Amino acid sequence: MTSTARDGELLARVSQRDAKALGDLYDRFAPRLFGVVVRILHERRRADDVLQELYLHLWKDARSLSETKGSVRAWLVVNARHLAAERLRAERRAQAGAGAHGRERVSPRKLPAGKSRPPEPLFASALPASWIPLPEEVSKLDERLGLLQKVINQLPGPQRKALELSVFGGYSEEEIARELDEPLGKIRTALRAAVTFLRHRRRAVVGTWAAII
Amino acid sequence: MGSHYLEDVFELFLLGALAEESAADLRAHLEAGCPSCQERIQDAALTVYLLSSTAKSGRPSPKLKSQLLHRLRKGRG
Repeated sequence: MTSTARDGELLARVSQRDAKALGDLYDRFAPRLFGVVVRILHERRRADDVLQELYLHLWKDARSLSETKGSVRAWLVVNARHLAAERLRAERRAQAGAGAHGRERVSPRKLPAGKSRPPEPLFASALPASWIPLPEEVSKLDERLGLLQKVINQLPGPQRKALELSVFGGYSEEEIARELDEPLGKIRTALRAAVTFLRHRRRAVVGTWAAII
Repeated sequence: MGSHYLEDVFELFLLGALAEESAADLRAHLEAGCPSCQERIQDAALTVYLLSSTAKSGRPSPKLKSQLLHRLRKGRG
């Protein structure tokens, strides 16, 4: 059985409330997902917390995800980044709010003790499910991941820096401009150029386009 | 349904980088079911997947899996 077929089979079992299958999906992807989350949150305990939350969402949404025929691997990776980035944003907002009201500043890494955290929405439930890429496309991408990571390093330094702040810092365009002390127009242009470059190179590398890297 | 969105906003939308107003506008457009934008968001998700995948794997707490499965059992009980 291929890796993609195995993912699909496990997802189908999770949608039938098979907890062992969820455990198997955990074993397959938890190290990779933990890597994404801890790079954003910089703290192992909170990364564990987000990872657990992600798998609880998967348990709840498995049936609808299975019906879309989308890639469970892509669902997990994209939502892991999204959940962790949303948590970071919420903490920054809390910190900014505390500062604005002259109260004790809140650590960007922690919420005030005893304060409950509202659940962050996942894209899977907030958007039409067709955002989830097909398993075959994700599998092709994974086969070329090493080469594609080199492509990211080809980005000009300022574009890479802005993209890094977005992907792993959870910053918006405006926040990146403030953080780097650059005009908003310049950051917008840099981010758009970066994602356009990556999209073109990705398509070329996975064979969607006939192009030479 | 026509689309006035440039291709490069979809990755930024998924990353949460767009201004709130632009993101809300695009979200409503997607929810209305624009077919070309549905394709674009799916394609953009591949780039976000790629970017996220540059993070090195790590090791979650060894207890996390059993805690997760315990929560599932509790939820079902």
